Parts: sequence; C-alpha cells; structure tokens
Amino acid sequence: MTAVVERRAAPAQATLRTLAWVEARRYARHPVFLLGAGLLVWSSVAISDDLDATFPDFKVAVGFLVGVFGVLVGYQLTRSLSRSTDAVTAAPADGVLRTAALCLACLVPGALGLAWVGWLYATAVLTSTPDSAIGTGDRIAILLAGAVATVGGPLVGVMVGRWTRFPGAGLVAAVLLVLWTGFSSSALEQRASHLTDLARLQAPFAFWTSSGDAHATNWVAGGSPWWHLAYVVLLCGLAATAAMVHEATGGRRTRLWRVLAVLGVLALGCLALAVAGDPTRVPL
Amino acid sequence: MTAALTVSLTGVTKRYRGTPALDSVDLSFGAGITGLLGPNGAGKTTFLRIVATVLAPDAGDVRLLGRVPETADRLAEVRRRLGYLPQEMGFPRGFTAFGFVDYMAVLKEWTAHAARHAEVRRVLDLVDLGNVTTKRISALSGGQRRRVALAQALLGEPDLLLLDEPTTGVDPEQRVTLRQVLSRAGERSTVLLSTHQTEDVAALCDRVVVLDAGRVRFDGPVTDLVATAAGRVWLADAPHPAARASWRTGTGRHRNVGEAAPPGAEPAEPTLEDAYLLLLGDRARTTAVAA
Amino acid sequence: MIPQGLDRAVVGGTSALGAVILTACVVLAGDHPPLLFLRLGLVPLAAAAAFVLDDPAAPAVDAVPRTRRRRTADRTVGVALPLGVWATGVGALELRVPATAAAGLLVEGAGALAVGLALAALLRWAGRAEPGEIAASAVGGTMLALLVFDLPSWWPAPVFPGDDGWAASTALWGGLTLTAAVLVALTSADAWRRIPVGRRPAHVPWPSWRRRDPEPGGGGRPSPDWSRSSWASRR
Repeated sequence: MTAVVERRAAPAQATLRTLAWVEARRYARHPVFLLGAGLLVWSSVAISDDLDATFPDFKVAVGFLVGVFGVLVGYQLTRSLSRSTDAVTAAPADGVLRTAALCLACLVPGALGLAWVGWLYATAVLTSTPDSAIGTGDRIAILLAGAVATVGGPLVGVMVGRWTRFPGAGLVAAVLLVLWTGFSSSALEQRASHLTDLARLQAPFAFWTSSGDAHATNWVAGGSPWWHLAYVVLLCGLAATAAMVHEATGGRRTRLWRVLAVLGVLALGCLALAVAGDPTRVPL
Repeated sequence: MTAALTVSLTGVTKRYRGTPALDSVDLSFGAGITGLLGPNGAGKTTFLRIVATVLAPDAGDVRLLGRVPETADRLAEVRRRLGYLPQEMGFPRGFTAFGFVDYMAVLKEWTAHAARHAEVRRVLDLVDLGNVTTKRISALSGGQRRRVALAQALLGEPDLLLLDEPTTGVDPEQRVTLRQVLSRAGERSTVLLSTHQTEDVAALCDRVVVLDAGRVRFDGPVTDLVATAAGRVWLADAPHPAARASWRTGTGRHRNVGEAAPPGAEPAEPTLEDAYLLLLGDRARTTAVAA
Repeated sequence: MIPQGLDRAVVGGTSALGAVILTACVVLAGDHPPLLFLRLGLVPLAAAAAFVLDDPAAPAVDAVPRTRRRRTADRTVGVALPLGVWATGVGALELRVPATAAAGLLVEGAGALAVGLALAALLRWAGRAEPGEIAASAVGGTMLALLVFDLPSWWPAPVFPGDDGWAASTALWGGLTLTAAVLVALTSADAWRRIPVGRRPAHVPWPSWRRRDPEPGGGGRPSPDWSRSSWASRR
C-alpha cells in the first residue's frame, strides 16, 4: 500500500507571501518593465542637467516609463495563466489570493519609482536648483505622487486583466490612461479656478506647473498636492480591490464591494479637499 | 512493396538546439494505415510536421505524393492532396464548427460555394458533428473540438492523411466511429497515425513504426511486433521480480511482461502494448489497477 | 469583404476606439489641430493592424495549399479598416481646421499601421501563431513614449512633428512604410523555402534539401556536409 504523505493546509498568509514573491520576480524580469527601467535610467541622465523650478513635474518620466508601461506588464502577467485556467482554478489558492499576490508584485515598480523620485529630489537639492514657490513639503508630495503612479499603472493592468479577456486590452487601458491625463492636464491652459483644478486633479496623474517657454513665467497651479497624493493612493486601492472583486464569491465578494464603496467615498473626499485650496496660480 | 510510395523519407534529420528530434530516418509509406508509436519526445510530432510540409528537415530528402516539394507550385500540389491534424491546435474566436471547417476549406481552395458547403457538411457528418454545426467551438467539449479539427483534415478526401493524436479526449463510442472513418480512408489513401493509444494502432493499422529518441526502433506489420512478445507475457498472483513491467489487472492478478515467462507461469496472449513495452525496454515496475 | 479568420472583435474594437478618439478630436478642435490627441487615436489603430495576422489555427493552416504569402495578402485587407478610420478622421479634421497637415498625417498613419503589421509578420515568421498582443504592445508602447517624450537632439527627423519638420517626418514615415512592406513580403514567404545554412536561427523551419543529383524529381541522398553549395547548384 502506498503511503500518502499528509500535508497540512498552508496558512493563507504564507501562501500569499510565497505567491507574491513569485509574481514579484516575474514582474522584475518582464521585458517591458526592464525596457521601461532602462529608458528611465537613460532619460535620467538627460534630465539631471536640465532641472529647473518645475522639476517636480519631471516625474512624468517615471510615471510613464514605469507606470504606463506597467499597465502592459500588469495585464500580461494577469492574463499569462489564462490558458491554464482550469488547472489554476482547481488549486487551493483561490482567485482573490492570486490577485492579491499580483497586486503586491506591483510594489516592484513602486520601489523603482520611489528610488527614482528620491534620486530626483536629491539631485535637485545637490545641484542647487532655483528656489521656487513650491514648498518643500508640496514638492515631496508631488514627487511621491509620481512614485504612486508606478504602482497604480500596473494595478490598472491587473484590474483590466481580471475583468477583460480582450486581446490588446492592456494597450487600450494604457491609451485611455494617457488620454485621461492629457485631457485633464489641458486644464492648465484654462483660467485658474476650482473647476479647472478639479478637471486637472481628478486624473490619476496631474501636472502642477506650467510648461511655458523660456520667455514665459512658469507658475505652479492651485490645489493641495498632499490631498491629491492621498487621492491617487486611494485610486490604487480601488484598482486592487476591483481586481479582487472579480475573483471573489459569496460573502467575501460582498465585503470587497463594501471596501470598494468606502474607498470610493474616501477618494472623492480627498479629491474635494485637494481642490478646496486656493486655486490661484503662483509664479515660480 | 509494389504499390506506389506516397511518402518517402531518406536520411531525414531534424535537430532542436543540437538535440536530434529525428536522426537520419529512412521510411517509406504507401496506401494503408500506419501507426506511429513512441515515448514522449521520440520525434513522432516532428516527423508528422515534416511530412505535412509544416517543418523542414535539417538534412535528408522528403518525397511526397510522387513529388519533391522544392518549389512553391509543387508544395501547393502536395498540400492540395494532404490533410493534417496537428497535435495541438487553437481555433479563431467566434467561429462555429461549420464556420471553422468552411474557413479551412477556403484555404484548401474550395472556391465553389455550394460544393464547399456540401463538403463541409459531409466531413462534419463523418465525425458525427452534424447536429452541432452552428454551435460555437468555444461551447463544444474538448472531444468535440478535437473532432472539428479532424474534420478539417478530412476535407477533400486527401491522398495523404496525417493525424497526430486524433482520439485525444474522444469518448469510446466516438472512437469506434473514427476508426470506421479512418479504416475507410486507409483503403485508398496513405494514413499516418501518431498516437499513444496502442489499441487504436492494433485495431486500425497494418503496419507500425516505433520511434525512440529520433530513431526507428521497429518498422513492420503489427502482427510481427506483437509476435516478438510471444512467450514473454504471463499472469501471476504477484509481480514477478524478473518482469520488465508488471501491473495488477482488474481481475486481481498481475500481468507480467518480461524476458521469458518463468516455468509454470500462466501465459497470456500478448498485446501490442506488451510488445511495445518490451521493445523499449521499460524496466519500471508499476502497480496499478488496470481498468 | 472581411477576410475569414480575422479576429473581427479585436480589430473592429480597437478601430472603434480609434474612431471615437478621432471623432472627439474633430469635434473639439479649435484653431489648431489637436495633434497629441489625434496621434493617441492612432495608437489603437496601429494595434488593430498588429492583430490582423493572428491565427490560432496556424499549426493546421500552415499545411494548406494556399501559400502564406497569399494568406497574408488576404489578411492585409483587414488593415483597410483602421486605415480608413484614420483617413476619414484626418480628412474631417482638415475640413474643420484647414491648417492641418493632412498629407503628412496620412503618411504618418499609414506608416504606424505598416510598422504594426510588419512587427506582427516578423513574430509570426519566428513561429508565433498569435503575434498581435506582443506586436500591438510594442508598437503602441513606443508610440506613446514618442508622444510623451522628446527625442534626443541628435535624432535627425521628428517622428511626430508639430508646427514644422513635416517634410522630414513624412520622408521618415514613408521610408518606414516601404521598409515595413518589404519586411511583410519577406516574412510571408512560406516556411518551406530554401535558405543557406548559417543565416537563420535554428528554430526557424528551413528546408535544407540535400540534392547531390541535379536531376529534377530525383530522390537525393543524405550527405554529412550541408553547405550553401547545394543551394547555388539548385538555381
């Protein structure tokens, strides 16, 4: 008679940790992530000589090369097991746990994003970038929002990968994100008001300074960078929760919907607070 | 063999990253059904892909249906008379069974609308899918999808029919139907059937080729291969230490396959599977209840 | 006629997204054409072109008499949809905003679609039955990056010009279109074609007919030395 080796069920946390580590390694080795990281390093060399008072908005480099590219990575990692759906679904680690692991793996680009904005800030300080009307605290908040974008993009990719099976959906999501950001940032060309601030800050990625030419005076837009940072962090939470909702069933699904609702309300609250500040544009 | 050779391979070699999937293989086939057996990685699929003109050998000569497909025209001529069922195949999104086989018929140059549709219906009826032609392939079972794939290979009654694992996922009743289809096809076409199901080979094939590590281990009538196991298969109450392979059957007794039956052993009629195991020298001792 | 086997949902869906974006550009255009958003609309159209060659049934389709070149030509008809969307959008924008460099934009769009198609053809030649996802991501990602960031100063011609640089850009996109067309043609050759050993990756199927006997239809004999000479002797 063959002895059957008894195995105790592993605690969910241990499984989540192990799975998250596996997914994180997959993320770190993904060619699109590596390409984005390589381009970021390359562009950083050019950026470092060009810092001026608008330097916090240079976060667009990491936001795009790691965040937007991360939409493609997150989507592909999520869809990569689609051909093994039956085998994967039959495993004890359920869809919510697997999705949570994928979401945790999005901290890999987040770490890169954080390191990069830290580098940018340090470079600005060390190279004596001209003083600007942006306070130190606000500068940090604006930069941190760029780092958050490097997590948010991949989370959007995971969410899209869970909710759609449409080939090319990752790219479509990336295009829509860029479109959203582009439309929102066009509010900078309008007169300063709470409405234009709302139009600008409701996007997951916001610009805070003008991009005028050498003869124009640069300025910083109104609104609160710290509340906007809180808003984009909550958007990340919404994306992760929405991804997990798709995989959840029964009571767990209900709970996740509640979490989604709470996060949504909080996000709207943070957005309102971000817009509530003085909309006046201040010259840099 | 006096009949015209449909397929002739001489010194055919194919390597993947230095490892030979086929190693200087010489084989020829005429009309009839030939089974291709071999362990995983033996080169069966590579062999069929080369004969199907989907993959080119690294060395050697391939002659198909009286032609060396060296030019685009000759290649097209060969492919017009060829039907191929790959081991793994996907289906385009949104197609019905009829729509997909019709699509393949168009690619096989069936341009006349009415004739093409009649042919599509014929092959779908042949594989017993006549009642699900309008069903989306995504809604079909795995066995039904396999039969859709087989149907496209049967289009136009090809002179050369290449089937890689045709009965995977197919239920026993349907397998019998497919055997009938293939045995009729084998009467006038060359059918090469790669499978792990030795019973399909035993039931259908006149000839069997056993590949192992890219080389031909056996090539001859099925009866000759089975005859090599004569006197080497026996039943006992327990697995015999001298047996190459041993397993517990549904009757509770052990079927032993080895070099020679020990004295006093109860001999058993050898099957193709026994002969195959002996040929490949499988020394693994298994204990399982055979269904 | 939409070619059979084309994934209509994907090609149609991404083309529709492009159409929506272009429509918004036309409707919301001011005195100047909204080039950034127009080009954002081009991204899903280039993705649509990249999906045109996807064929999940490729293992069986590769054995049919209709050559790969013919099948590619049939499928290429599917590019007419995203190209038509682009042409219509640019045409409408020019009517709305006369300052639009319509000719340059048309060449630009054709080039982007051609590059998407060529990349898919290259991946298919390398053995991928459904190259669309990767090709679309590569082309789309590159286009997005070029829209967001400026090229280095040493780059000679603008890829997405604004007020000036259209002549150089049009020449660049025209060259890319031609190159892409040649690439599609070359990679659409049937896999069962002779190419001298040593100039192709091991996993790409090449026929390497050994023929010592120059007689047509001869059986040939295996030889230990496969070299280019037999290719030359065949011609």
